[in-house]
Amino acid sequence: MDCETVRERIESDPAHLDQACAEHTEQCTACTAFAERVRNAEWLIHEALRFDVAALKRRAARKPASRWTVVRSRTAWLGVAASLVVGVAVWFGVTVAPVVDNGPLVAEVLAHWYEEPQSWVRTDVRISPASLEEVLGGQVEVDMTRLGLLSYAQSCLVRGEQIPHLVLQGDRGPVMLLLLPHERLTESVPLELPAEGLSGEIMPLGEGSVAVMGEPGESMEAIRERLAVTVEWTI
Amino acid sequence: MPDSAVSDARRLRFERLVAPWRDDLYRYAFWLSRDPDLAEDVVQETMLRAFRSLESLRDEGSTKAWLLTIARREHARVYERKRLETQDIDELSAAEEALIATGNDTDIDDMRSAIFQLKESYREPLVLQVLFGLSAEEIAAAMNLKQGAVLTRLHRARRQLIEQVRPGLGVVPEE
Repeated sequence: MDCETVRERIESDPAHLDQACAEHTEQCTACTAFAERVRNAEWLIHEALRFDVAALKRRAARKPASRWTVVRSRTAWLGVAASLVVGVAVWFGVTVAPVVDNGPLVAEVLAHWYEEPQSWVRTDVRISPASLEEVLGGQVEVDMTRLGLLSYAQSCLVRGEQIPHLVLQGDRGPVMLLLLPHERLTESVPLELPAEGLSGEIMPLGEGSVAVMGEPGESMEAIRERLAVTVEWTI
Repeated sequence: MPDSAVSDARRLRFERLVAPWRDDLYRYAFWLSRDPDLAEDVVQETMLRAFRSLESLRDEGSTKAWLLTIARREHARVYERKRLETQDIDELSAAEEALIATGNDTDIDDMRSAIFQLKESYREPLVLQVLFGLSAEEIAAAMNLKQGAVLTRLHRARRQLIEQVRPGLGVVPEE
């Protein structure tokens, strides 16, 4: 076994040398020195990797909040709020809407907004066509050049189906779009998240529907028109 | 067994098996993502999923590997989502680098900085080996690689770190 091979093995796993490697090292002064130096560095690597978690968290908490940390800090109470929304919406669906029970759909759509708060950012960074394509999963075709700036795309589980969750950058801020090819509606159903100041509707679209929710003042009519010409179900 | 007793038993089992790994999982997630906030997200999701599926952990001796599998998957999920949204993870990571320097020990700070700059494909096996004590075979299984590839990555990772932090260390005259 030559010195280079031995040294590669020492660098691969300094704590566990095989027999041949150990024998070579024992007989080769240069490789013995090399192994010793690597072991010294190994202590440094270990100490570097094993940082003080609490201290790092403290330093991270002091740094200026990125847009991600701002959003993330809300997730704790968002979870509680989501539960309340689901409860109220299900109650509403069960007790107030006796003819067509859209309560569970509304509840799940509203709750879903809370599940992905990181999507809710004002940005001019658009997702790539490839990312969108992957999320659409052959269920739907979206003309992203005409729809507007899409900043987020994720495949999400809603009512037992994987559906595309998109975020469109609207006139007033981000707009959540849940493309629901399996949810056929006869008329629009309002969506309200008063605690967040958000509103929208689940709009019928061909054989399916699209849940749209945005900031106050966002024109649902304009979005509906754009969706009608840019979204096409393929299942 | 009543529901409350089942719940208590599960909580106790969680506290005994999973909770002690929390800091190491955070370190793992941090070294993968190089972002303390994202690491926290990954750990929270990992703990939550571990709690929910604790019954599926039959062999308690494999807790470490089981948690690492969950954390690795969570990291991929969270990271991918973030990448899709921002496309600026590298800029974020560069900004986070200063956080890992404590100022207490220059050598350790230099090494942290060097590890921070390693390619992820080198950094992850190093963390799994050094922090979690996984063998090359176990790392290969976790990362879905051949064992030889893991060993090559480990040797290159150390060589790069040593060259950066301790130049000349690897230069030992041939006998």
